[in-house]
Order: sequence, then C-alpha cells, then structure tokens
Amino acid sequence: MKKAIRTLCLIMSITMLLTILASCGQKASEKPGTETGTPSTSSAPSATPTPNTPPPPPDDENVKYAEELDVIIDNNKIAVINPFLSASNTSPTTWVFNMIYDKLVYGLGEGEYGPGLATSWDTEDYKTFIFKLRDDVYFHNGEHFTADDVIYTIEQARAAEGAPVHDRWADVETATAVDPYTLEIVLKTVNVDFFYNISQPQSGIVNEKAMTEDPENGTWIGTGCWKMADFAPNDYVKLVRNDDYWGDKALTQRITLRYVPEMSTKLMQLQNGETDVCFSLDPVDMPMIEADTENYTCYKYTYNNIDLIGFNMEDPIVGDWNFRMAVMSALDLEEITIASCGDYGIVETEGTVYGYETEFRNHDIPKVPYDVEKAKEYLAASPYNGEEIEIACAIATYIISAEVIQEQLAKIGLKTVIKQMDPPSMGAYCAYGDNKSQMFVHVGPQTLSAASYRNLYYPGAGYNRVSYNNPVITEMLDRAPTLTDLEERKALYMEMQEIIAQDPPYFSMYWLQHMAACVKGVGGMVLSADSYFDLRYIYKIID
Amino acid sequence: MLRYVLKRILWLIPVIICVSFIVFALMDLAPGTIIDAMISEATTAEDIAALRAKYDLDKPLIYRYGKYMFRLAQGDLGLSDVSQTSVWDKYITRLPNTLLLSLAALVIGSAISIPMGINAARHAGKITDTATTTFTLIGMSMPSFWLALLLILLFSYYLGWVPAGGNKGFSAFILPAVCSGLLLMANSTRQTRSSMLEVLNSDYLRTARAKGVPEKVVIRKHALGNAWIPILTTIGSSLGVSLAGSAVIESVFAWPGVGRATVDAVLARDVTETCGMIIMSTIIYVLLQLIVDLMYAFVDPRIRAQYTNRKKKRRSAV
Repeated sequence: MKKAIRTLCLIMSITMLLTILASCGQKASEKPGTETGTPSTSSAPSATPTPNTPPPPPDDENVKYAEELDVIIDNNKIAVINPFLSASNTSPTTWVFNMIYDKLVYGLGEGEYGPGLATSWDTEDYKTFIFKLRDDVYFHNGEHFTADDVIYTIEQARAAEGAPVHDRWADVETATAVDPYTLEIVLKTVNVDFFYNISQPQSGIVNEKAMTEDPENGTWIGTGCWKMADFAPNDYVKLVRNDDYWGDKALTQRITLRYVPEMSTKLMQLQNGETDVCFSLDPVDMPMIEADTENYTCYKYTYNNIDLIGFNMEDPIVGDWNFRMAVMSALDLEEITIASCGDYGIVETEGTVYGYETEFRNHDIPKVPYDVEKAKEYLAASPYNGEEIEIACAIATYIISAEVIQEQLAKIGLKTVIKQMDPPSMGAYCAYGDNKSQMFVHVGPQTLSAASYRNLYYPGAGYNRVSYNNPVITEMLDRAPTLTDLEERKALYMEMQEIIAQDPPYFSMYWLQHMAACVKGVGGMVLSADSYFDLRYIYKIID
Repeated sequence: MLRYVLKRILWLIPVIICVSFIVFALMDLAPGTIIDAMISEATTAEDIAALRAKYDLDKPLIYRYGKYMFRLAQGDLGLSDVSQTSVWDKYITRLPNTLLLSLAALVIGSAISIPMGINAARHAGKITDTATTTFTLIGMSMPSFWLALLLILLFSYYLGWVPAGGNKGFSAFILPAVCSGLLLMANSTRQTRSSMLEVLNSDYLRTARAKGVPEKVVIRKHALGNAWIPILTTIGSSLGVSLAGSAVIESVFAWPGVGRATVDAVLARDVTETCGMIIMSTIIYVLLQLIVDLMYAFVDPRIRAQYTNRKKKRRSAV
C-alpha cells in the first residue's frame, strides 16, 4: 500500500510539475527579448489615417509579396456581410465593406473628400448635388455600374430601419439618374454631414441585379478591389483579389479574416506563425510581442471611443451636480488607467467628453482636478446620505476600473456596489426613458465626425445612457448639421463642449491603446481611430 | 419495438414545446434585447422604435412565442434575428463540425476508457487501479478550457505539431478531438470500472472460471456483457452533451461548431436562433437516448426478451 501511495505521489508531482512548466514557461527562445513586464522599447510605426491613399509599398521592383494572408480580427465578430442589416455595426464588418465596396466619395480628413465612384460633384445650395460617375466600373458579377445602382442602394438603405446605413442616406429626399453616369441627389434639408455619411464603409454601392437574383448573398457583390469567396458567420471571411478592379489592384491575392474568441489561442497562433496579423491582443501579452522586434512589427492605435463614467441624470442622488463633482474630484485617473490598461492606457487630461480624434475637439476645457478634500466638501453638499450607490459595468477592463473607482470613492466615505452584466444587458439597463442605473463605467462610441457627438447627448439617442436632456444642447445639436460655414460650425461644437463640461453627465477616464501585431514584412493597413480599418492594400513582403 | 420507438418520438412534441417555451421565457427575462446588441453610433431614437416594432418587442411574450410556434409547427425554424438567414441552414452548416468532433471524442474516449476501466477493475486496489482512479479524477476535475490550453501549449506552441486553432484541415481537428475525447474518457473510465467491479465477483463468473473458461473470454463475453448498460448510458449522455456542442472547447480552438453558434446567439439576444439551435440539440439528444435505449436490447438478452415476450403476449391475446 505504501508503495502505491508513493507511486501515486510521484505521478501527481510529475503531473503538477508538467502543468506548472507548461503554463509558466516560454518556448525555447527562438523568440528573444520577450521578458514580460519589460517596458516597450520598440519604435512601432503608428497608424496614420490617410483614407483612400494606400500606404506606399517599398519602392523596389524586386520585392515579392505573399499571395495569401491570414488575419485574426479584433474582439468583434462578423455576423453578416450585408450593410442593410443592423448587425453590420461591428468594426471588422466595416473592414470587409471597405474591401468589397466602393463609395461615391472617400474622406481625406479635415472635411475634405476625394473621388471614388463619383469623379466630381457640384452644389449651389448644399441641398441639391450633381454627381458625375465613373463609366469604367464593373461589379464583381460583371454588371456595369451606373447611377441606377446608386439609386437602388439608397432605396435599400432607406428601407433598412435600424441599420447604420439607414442614417447614412436618411437625408436624401430624391435621387434621380440624369443619365447613366450623372446622378442628382436632393436632400430634405441642408446637412453638412452628408458627405461624411456617404464616405463611410456602410455606404458602399450594391448591385440591383445581384440583390434581386440572390436576396441572401446579393450584398456580397460590390465594385471593390476584393471579391467575396466564402463566409461563415461569426467565424471567417475569405476574400480574393478583384483582378478587374478599375483602380489600384490589391498587392495580395487572397486574404482570410478570422475571429478567434480565446485570447491565448490568438497569441499562440501568432507566435506559431499560423496568422500574419493579430488585432486586439490581450494587453497583458502586448509588451512581450512588442519587445520582440526581430519577429514582429506592432502598429498601435487608439479608438475614438470614450472610456467613461456615466451618471444617470434622472437619479435623485447621482443626478445631483455636487454628487457628480464629488465623484470626479475623488478619482485618481492615473491609478485607474494603470490598473485597467497597464502600460497601454493614456490618461485623460482634458475636461471635455469627446472622441479622441473627432473633429472640433475643445482642448481648452480643464479637467476636474483630483482633490480628495474638495471631493468630501462636494459630497457633504449633495443629497447623499450613506446609501450604497451602484456602479454598473459590462466588460473586463471596465470591471477592473470599477473596482479601483470603488476603492477611491470609499476614501471620501462614498459606499458603492459593483453590478456586473453583459453588454446587451447594460444597454437595456441604461436605456433612455427607462434608466435603471445610477453610475456606470462603459464606452461612449464616437466617430471622426462631430455629428457622432449627438448620440451621447441627444434625448432618446442610442448611446445617451445618462438620460441627458438639456434643451439648449438639443437645439444646438439640431442646428449643427445646417451650418455650412466651417468656422461657425466649429465654434458651435466648441461651445457645446463648454456647456456640457459645466453640467457633466459623463467623466472621461482614459484611452486604451490597441495593437495590431504583425509578423515581419506586413504593412499597408490604414488603422483609423473610428475602427473602420482599411485593409485593401495590406501586403506581406517575402524574401 | 416499433411501437416503443414511435411513442418515444411522439414524446418529442411536448419536450419541444416545453424547451422552446423555457428558452423564450428565459431570453425574455434576461436583461437586454437584440436591439441593445445592435445599437451603433448612428442609431437614433426613431431607429430604436422601428426595431422594437420589427422584432415585435412591443408585443407581449405570448404573442411572440405563439408566432414562433406557428412557424415551427410548419417545420420552419425561422430566420435569424441578427443575420436574417435561415436558422436551419446555419445549424446544418455547423452540425458536421460538431458531429465530427463528437464522434472523434467518442472513438478516442471509448478506445481508452473501456480497456482502462476493465483493467482497473481487474486489478482493484492495486497500483494500476489507484493510478487509473487518480488519472480519471484529475481528468474529471480539470476544467475543459484549462486542459484545452495546456494541450495547445504543449502540442502546438512547444512541439509545433498541430495548429492551435481554426478549421483548416485534419491537423487543426486533432487537438479539439483529443481534448473532447479525454474529457469523455475520464467519465466513462470511472463508469466502466465500477460496472465491471459489480459483475467481476459474481457467482456466474466464478462458475465460468471453475469450468475452465479462459480469463479473456470471461471478461469479454460474460463480465463485459453484463456491464455494458451503465457504460452505454454514460457514453450516450456524454455524446449527447457534446453533440449539443461544447461551447468552451469550440471557443478555445476556434472550432465552428453548434455550441459556439448557440452562445453567440444568446449573447446577441437572437431569440429565434437560440431557440432553433436548442430545439435541434434537444431533438438530437432525445434521439440519441432512444438509440442508447435500443442498444440496451442489443447488448442485453433479458431486455430483448422483454420486447419479444410482449409481442408474443399481444399475439396470443389476439
């Protein structure tokens, strides 16, 4: 019996040892310099948003490109390849749209637009636009592109209530084909955001014949420089190069975009060479990959989306100005950022709650300073009476933030309880008109256009999770799209940010940096802050 | 026998009604709706109202359930709320992957667990038995995601023999199959061992041995023959569960199976797809249990005799 016990102990010890070795060890170092926790020393090229301009490949005729690329997408899935469905709202879905569709115009930044399927356009009153269209464009099914396809796309978009594309074309009153390559669009009212809207990935032009013949997969047919080859919802998308493309052809022949749910699997697939690009690695793994400059090139990017604390303005305690100021004064954002993002967080230093790279950001609004004594004074002046205040949160990073916030608020005598839920539950919990929350830590999505500001503050808007309803701001938000003068418009947004900063329903905390980890030789991606990445001209140089 | 099979199949109807209602009610009780998973920066209050009307969320649960059941009664699992594509098509696309994984797990699991369980029972109390029991205990206690990650680490990262995930050919299939097989093995080894232990000391085996029947025949024919029923039950249940899709294993290995699709549907609050996937998994589970029941008759002459006797009784009554 003793012998048996000894043998058993030996087996268990070996098993445990193997387990520990397997989980703690690193692969025999073909991967040098990967000490975890080492601060990043690599000079990772940052993503420059240069829409519609493929980053130039190396100026060398002898350069050879890989025929096939494998890309692990970020933590969102591709559920549909159909811009007319609401589920097309995820970031990687827009990457596919960028690849398979062309838009009438492309954004060039700072309110400028360049030609796409439209070669030129003209307007006298910002209400009626005449677009001249390209006459040398063919859809992937061989159909010739004409103005009728644009009109069909607009009709489909207007019928697609709830889909992002619906609002992109919602301002169109009429769309008429003057001739096959001339299109007249009349808007309901003047809307300076119209060009921004139609330059978005969801606004790609589809083909009527393809949609009629195959209602389920007709939306796979576009005019873009990539063609759909295969699609498994929530799993992968396979694309092949469109060799008949009217513009610059892609440098790669085939590409697979895959969704991998498990972070560790993502990392190991990258390290094993099973993939060429891996988006949104776990922040814990990022320093290790970034330090390994011999094997990987890392492109860092920051989303426009605001990582914020929200206060339900209808709640009798949380809705009180003194209470909100007490919370804001009590928070040490540096500590929250380090705990939540490690080395990959940028602490918010400004007082506006606005997209990171959204146009017209007001940089002159001061942040509420960290001052525990002042926070206590604010709290004493608020209706707070020792109750437990709830902090709702949904995703892992925000749960960590909420835990740090809870500790910091305890220092001023504010008791809180954390309520965890999944993202859809969070949406329902903080819904406008039926807001059950008190405080929450969540995301405030923003695009590069100032128009997206509306969705955080306009009554009833999808992301107005604080039930904010300020008639002055509502009127200004309504007025903003009608201002054709750029300076006037900019001044209006600046003023709105100042007014809201006096009445802060949100508190911006930090910006989480993300990373696209690529094997050596990969380039050509445009990683813009709105998450609508352009992978059309992605390449991998091979020896 | 046929009557019994028909009766069991007919029982599927109330089971489906109950399951679908429970799924519908649970999805309704869960906070959040499909609209909350669809909101983007462009969604307006009007869009939200239009979506609520589109998905009948402005109507009571019973209306939505009735509408769903009316369609289901016509054999239509409906269109996914998210992708507007056929739920049946989605299920059928994913099923082969899950089926492949489950069958491989069954083969791997049974091939190891049955001989191992028999061996442990034959050497009960000895080192082989203790080692087997400990091994299976570790297997049962180890969370599936942990085992999966360890396998990836060892065979994919360190040794580089197989890919860490995805659905790219046979090599990508090995790790998820082995992982599922090992998990199934742990359970069925313990069941095989205990079933064999019960019969190994029976009088009829002692008699067989006394009559000079070779030990191999005693084990294979006489002992195992009587121990089959609990083993089949365990393997059947485990297979049924894995046919419903192991969301954890499928997620870790990025394997596009039914389990992952069901979890995705739940997270997206896609009631139609969730209900469709779960109903299909229920049907498969019930049918599998029926097959297991029928196999009892195949492996156990006493049960076979019961069916035959009933048939004879009915004939004589006529």
